[in-house]
Amino acid sequence: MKPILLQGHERSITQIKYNREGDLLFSVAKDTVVNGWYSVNGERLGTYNGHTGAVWCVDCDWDTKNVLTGSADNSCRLWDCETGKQLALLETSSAVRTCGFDFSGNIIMFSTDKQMGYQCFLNFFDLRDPQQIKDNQPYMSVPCSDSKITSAVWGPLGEFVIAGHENGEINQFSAKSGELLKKVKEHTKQINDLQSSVDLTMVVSASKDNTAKLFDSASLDHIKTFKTERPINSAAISPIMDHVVMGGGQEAMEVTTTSTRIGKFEARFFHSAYEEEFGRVKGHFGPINCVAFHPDGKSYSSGGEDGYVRIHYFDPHYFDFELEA
Amino acid sequence: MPSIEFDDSKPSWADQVEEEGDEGTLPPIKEVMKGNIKTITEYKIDEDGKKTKIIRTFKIETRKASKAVARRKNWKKFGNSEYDAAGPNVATTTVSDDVFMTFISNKEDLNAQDQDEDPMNKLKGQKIVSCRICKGDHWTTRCPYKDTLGPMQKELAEQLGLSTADKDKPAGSAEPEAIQPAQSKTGKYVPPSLRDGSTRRGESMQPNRRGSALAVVPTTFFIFFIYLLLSFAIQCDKTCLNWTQNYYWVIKKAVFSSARIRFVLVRVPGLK
Repeated sequence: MKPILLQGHERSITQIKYNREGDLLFSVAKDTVVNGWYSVNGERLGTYNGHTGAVWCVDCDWDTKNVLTGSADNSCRLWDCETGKQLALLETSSAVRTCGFDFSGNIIMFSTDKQMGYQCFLNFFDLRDPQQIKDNQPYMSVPCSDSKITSAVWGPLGEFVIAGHENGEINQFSAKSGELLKKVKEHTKQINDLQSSVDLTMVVSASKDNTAKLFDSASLDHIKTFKTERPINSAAISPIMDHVVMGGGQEAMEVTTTSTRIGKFEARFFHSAYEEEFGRVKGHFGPINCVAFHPDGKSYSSGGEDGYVRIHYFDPHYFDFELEA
Repeated sequence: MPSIEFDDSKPSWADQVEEEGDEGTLPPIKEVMKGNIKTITEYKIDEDGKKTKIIRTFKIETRKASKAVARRKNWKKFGNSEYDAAGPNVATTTVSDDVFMTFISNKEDLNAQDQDEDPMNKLKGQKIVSCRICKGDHWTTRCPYKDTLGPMQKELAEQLGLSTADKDKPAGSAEPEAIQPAQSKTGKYVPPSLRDGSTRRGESMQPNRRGSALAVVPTTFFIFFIYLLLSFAIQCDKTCLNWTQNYYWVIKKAVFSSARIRFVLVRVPGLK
């Protein structure tokens, strides 16, 4: 496959996300730039200018009207997708680490970091109520005292938020009452990324403890584990095949002792049922920070520490591949 | 529209342009459609005043998409892309080299592949260093059996040396004599102080400080006290018996000859 290389950022990519139809790809990085691209040919649609610090997260709502971004400049901003205009600015007391629209596109959640004496909070805003945005008053703010939230996704039907913590815990917080519904500790180290499947029934967690785990969204049952020798920065579930893609880092020690091979950082493909690795794709010049599958499953993208986003369209060979049991 | 650019240079196009009858200005833009490949040929004058020919090749693909997606494709660009032309901008988007997914049927295969390619492993096969004790792949000082095999080796060498010395004596040739001293050594130099029968003293540079100090100090101070007594006596009785004066003079000389006392006296004024 001939990947399309998107060079819109000067610093490492923090997150990439497709919109629901998959024709737009949003990428955010530590360089304050938010880019929107057409995923079909890599043409850039535009940039959402306004943030003054590293942008940690991005999300697009289901009808691609609004884009939500959270940044280290202590703000969470809402943008109009088509024109790039900033619609709302929600200021916080510490950096915003994760953000997301719920299934309906009406409620937004974002989590703030534990820094400078402020605790980690999970905030919920209702976009149908303009008063909340004007006063910068979330209708609910849930504090998390022990370990800060490093990644969070909405559960099915907007009922709860599944959050991954710095100590490896995964918790479910109700979106209506804010109470802790379920709690699971399967990982031993920080959870770097949480992504849900297209139908929101499963969630894959990528962790620093060199494993990625697949959970059921509603019950948080631990279904599968994918083991590697490197910390995993991001994982995504394929919408059409039983595959999971992961991107990670190479330990600093390894880099100097192994032979130098440019573009060695790989995205690894695992079979989600057999928990076995079946493929690797090279190309990045630095650890891969984020991976995402196109909603139709025919392509995937990865954003790396090198500041590049690569869109890969799979060869027909990929779809015919059968893992020999 | 996805675009694919490739280089298609014809020889001496500059001559062709000149032949066509130099218009002085640039030739018009040509657009050629061949099937679904569109080739646009543009002529431009560069910053250096040179004529450049730009050939862009586009593959026109018709894709069916939902209404919403199609509408989004026609959105106006904004932000940093506001002044961009239609189609991908070369600065931001490039087609990278072919990358193939390496399919792994067996994890071992992949690891083996990695190892073969590693030149480090090729070096590992060669024997570069060898230990004198156990002939292993490490330096002698880093031998894991240093404390066990090391002394054993010494003893063996000694025995060998002595036995060969005995054997050679009855033979009585000049050569063994030369070898004898070499063989009687266990192969290591033993300094005189550590040899058997050495007292191991007389090696340190520092003199016997404490002993010598102990000998001198009491004597010095004894003389010093006599001197003090006499001076006190003289002070008290100014008539000065002759003998005290004489003794006083002698003792004073003795006292002042000692550097130690001089030091003390200088420090303590009033006693001069």
